[in-house]
Amino acid sequence: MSCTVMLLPAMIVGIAQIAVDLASSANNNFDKSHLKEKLLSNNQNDLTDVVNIICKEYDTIYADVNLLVKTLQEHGVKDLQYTDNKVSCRFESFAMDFVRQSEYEAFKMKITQDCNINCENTIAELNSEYAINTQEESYIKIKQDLEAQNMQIADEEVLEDNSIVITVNVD
Amino acid sequence: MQKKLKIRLYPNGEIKVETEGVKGKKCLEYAKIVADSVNAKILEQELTKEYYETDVEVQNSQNLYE
Repeated sequence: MSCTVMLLPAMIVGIAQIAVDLASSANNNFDKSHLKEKLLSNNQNDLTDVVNIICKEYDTIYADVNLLVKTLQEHGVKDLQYTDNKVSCRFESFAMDFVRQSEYEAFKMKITQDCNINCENTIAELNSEYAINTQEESYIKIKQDLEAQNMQIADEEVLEDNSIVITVNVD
Repeated sequence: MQKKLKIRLYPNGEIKVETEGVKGKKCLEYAKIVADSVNAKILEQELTKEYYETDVEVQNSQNLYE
């Protein structure tokens, strides 16, 4: 081996960071009437008090809107709406909004939910599914580019950890 | 020895590019092809002694006597 290089595709941005609880933030412009409307629209008809509704903001690994939308669709979200820099949807009993300033940065995720509901598992699942979609997208793009450069693929295999290994014979 | 480029795509999205039998800076050129393909940034890079060697073309005996 003459060199080993680890790469991170632009579609994904590192590891998801710890949530920032906007409800406890000093800069929080917390519009509870808006949140109540969001949750009520999710058939939470018995919801009469908005005291327990919280909004959390998370940094995310999602830097590609198309891949994010694909991941959300596959996860089974509802009311999905999106533009290049804004994605919103509902999943189970919480609302998710993904926002960024430009296409060169990762989305921030805001989750509006009842404070008694734990959404951490859903976030972990989305992260995992987005990463797998990144792997798939990278595989397609790399194969296309190798073929475009007439580089001969000698072997392909999937390892036990679900890594995909492409071996190319070079001159 | 057949020179090889090995591209390993992990399920967490990371990609490892390795070369076998490729001497000199050519190995980084292959890594760049992969990086450009997915617009990737380099997280880590490790160069072995092979990187600092160069491919020497061996002249055949006929040429030596010319």
